[in-house]
Amino acid sequence: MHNRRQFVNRLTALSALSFAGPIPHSLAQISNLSAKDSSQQSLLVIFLDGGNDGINTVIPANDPLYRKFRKRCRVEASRAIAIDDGLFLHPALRSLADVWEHDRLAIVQGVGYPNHSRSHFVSTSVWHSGNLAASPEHGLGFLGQAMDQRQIASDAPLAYSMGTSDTPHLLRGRQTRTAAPPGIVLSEAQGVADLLRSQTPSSTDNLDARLVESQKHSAIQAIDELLRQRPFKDAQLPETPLGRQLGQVAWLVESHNPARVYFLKQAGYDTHSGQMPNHAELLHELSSAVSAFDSRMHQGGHDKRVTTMIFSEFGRRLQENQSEGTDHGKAGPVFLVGGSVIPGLHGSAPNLEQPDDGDLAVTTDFRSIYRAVLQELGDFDDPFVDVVSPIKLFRA
Amino acid sequence: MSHWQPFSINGSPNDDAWNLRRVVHLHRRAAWGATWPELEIGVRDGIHASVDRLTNPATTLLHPRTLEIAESAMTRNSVSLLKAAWVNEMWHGSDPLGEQLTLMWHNHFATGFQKVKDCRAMFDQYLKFRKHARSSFHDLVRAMVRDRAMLIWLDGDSNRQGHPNENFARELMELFTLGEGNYSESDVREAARALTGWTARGGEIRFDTNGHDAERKQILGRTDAYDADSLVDLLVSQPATASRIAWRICDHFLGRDRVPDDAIEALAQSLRDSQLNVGKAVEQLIRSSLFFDESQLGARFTSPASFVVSNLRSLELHAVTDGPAIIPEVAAAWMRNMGQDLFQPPGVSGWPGGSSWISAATMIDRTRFAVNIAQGTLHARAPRGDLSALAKRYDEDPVSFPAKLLFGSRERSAEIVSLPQLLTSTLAQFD
Repeated sequence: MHNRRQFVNRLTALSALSFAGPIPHSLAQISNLSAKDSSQQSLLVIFLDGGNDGINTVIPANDPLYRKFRKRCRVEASRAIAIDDGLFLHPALRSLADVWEHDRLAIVQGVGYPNHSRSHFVSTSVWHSGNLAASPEHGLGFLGQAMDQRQIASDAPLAYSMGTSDTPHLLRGRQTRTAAPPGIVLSEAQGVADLLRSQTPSSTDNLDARLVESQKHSAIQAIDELLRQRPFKDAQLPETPLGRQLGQVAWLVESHNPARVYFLKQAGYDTHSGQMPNHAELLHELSSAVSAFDSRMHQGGHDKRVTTMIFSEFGRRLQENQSEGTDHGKAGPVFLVGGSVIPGLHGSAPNLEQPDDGDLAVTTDFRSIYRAVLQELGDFDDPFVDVVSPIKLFRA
Repeated sequence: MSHWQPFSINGSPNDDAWNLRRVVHLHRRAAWGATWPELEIGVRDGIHASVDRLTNPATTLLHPRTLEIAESAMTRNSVSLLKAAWVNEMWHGSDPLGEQLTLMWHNHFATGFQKVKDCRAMFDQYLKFRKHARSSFHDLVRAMVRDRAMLIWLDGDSNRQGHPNENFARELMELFTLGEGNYSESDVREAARALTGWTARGGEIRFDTNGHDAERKQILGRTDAYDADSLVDLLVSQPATASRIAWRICDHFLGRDRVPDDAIEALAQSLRDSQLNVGKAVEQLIRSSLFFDESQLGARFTSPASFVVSNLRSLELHAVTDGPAIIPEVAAAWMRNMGQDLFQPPGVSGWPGGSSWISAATMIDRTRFAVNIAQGTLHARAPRGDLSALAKRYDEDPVSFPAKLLFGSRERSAEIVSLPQLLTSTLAQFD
């Protein structure tokens, strides 16, 4: 990476305090570049932290075995939303059912991996790394690795993590950089943009100084965009933690931010007791935020550019426990949302008559979904080529 | 010609080669910025006395307030307080160069609280970085193979005879000593066996003989019954290790990709000649003609640590006499916003640094930080950054003072530049 030319061309032009001269042509070129970058596909990952009860999310409500194992943690067909023969969505997923109706939702059933771990930490790191032997919270993430080569060619972070202070495992790579969204409140935004705008850009040939100026320029654009779209945004996304974070993602996508992956997590799915009301509340927050995000992307013409993938580290046990809750299990459904997905059910539903040690058995390897997503993203490295085959989840 | 020969005032075509700009440079790189009185002393005393003050501190004991904050961080296991303790030491410590080296080692042996989850272990590790900041690199690596935070972070804990975990062995070779390309996969497997037996369970480091694989291992072409210490002996004796440490020192003090390869190699040779004495190499570097070369002045992307800690210090907001100073916890939180979260590096390879510090999002945060300093709104009852008041206190011209204080710049701008404008200028993104 060492570049002798850059070394020789150090900032000799930087000694003057204020710069004079017009915006260099390179700025326009840089903007063009980033516009081109961001026309590529991006991915929004929502991680349901704690182990989502998959069988109460996509529900075989009339299956006698479901009714036998679930007495208190049971959703009745009469209240649920029918999506297929004998298959229902949880009633809290009402707005996601609209997305389903509009052919923009794919549900992959029975997803997991061989010898599934019931440990939060182990299974989370398996899902985040794509490596079945991953150690908890350490090592590289599958998206971080997949983006490493792209990051080398990009000055801007290729990943955003919303609402986390550290880099999520999924995004850890050797090169990949993860940013947090600009934590700017609207009352400050105009002042910040004005201050940045008040500075005369330099006419320097120095590449580093130009980088700083191009990033300031992007910052001004991003804030302008934020201010311009505020009423639209407020009208569209729910005022929940997830809704606000998805609002930031929407803003970044609409601002043509060069990031390719956005990550956020919704915690609280570890429903060992008193599951029914808590689970419904979580699914409601998820469903309303995701469907609002999707319709905003759709209306803005961005929906072919961004796909949402929703997964959890494991499903829960078929047999409910004694505390009106459920314990750690294995397979669960994965949701994909967007204008590029092949809508409908994918994979085969786990057979309740043949559980895996009391859990829903895995019918689809999660890495086959990752492979489909990586292919859709186009220019990422695929670490799973020799491991599994991709399943077809996206329109050609 | 040697890049590392001492910077010579007589040899320079410019009579005032030792000037305010170079004093600012020295303090931004090898300390935590300087107040105006400190800059004046530096100009007056000359290069040798100025560098001596940094390389030979009167004491390296922690500041009492640092210890206090660290104690309560450990009692509550609060990593925010632990960060505050460190910022306090950067601001007030008696060994600012040692604190720069400590940050360098934290970046080199990047260990994250997010997995270690124990402030005591993180603080212990921090103390080891301080203790060995200038010593032989050999001692530092020996301390790391039995460091509790490190063993938790890299799963050394689950590395047992018969169940080797290669994580630590791999990073030890790839990141901490040899560097990529200087070992094979088989070396990693064998080194993992050498590291078996160290456990960190129950809050204590122990060597469990039964968990250690005492058989012979073949590592880098040599066969022996290696254990952690003899593995370290082997690794640090490799020429590649000196090269990697020389690279790290240049990376920290001069910025990423700012030093030609032959200069890095020359510094590596000095390290080999001194049995990897880091203090010597660093001293050679900060006295060198390359360090003070015109091409290096203001040529490094300002890190969040420097942007926050050094700027606040130069503005004397770290120690206000007539009221509360900036709270170090808040300063650390702004560093996090800007991408450098102390004790929580983004991964095992540390912060990428260089141009990665600069993005639209971080420029927004740097701008917000500047506005909040000027308004005195960094936190409740925060002091206000006031350049005119400082100029008045030191009887300096209010128009030229700001750029002199922050950049050592002699150019007189046409009018007074506001503090937010100054800190968000392109110039201020380099130091």
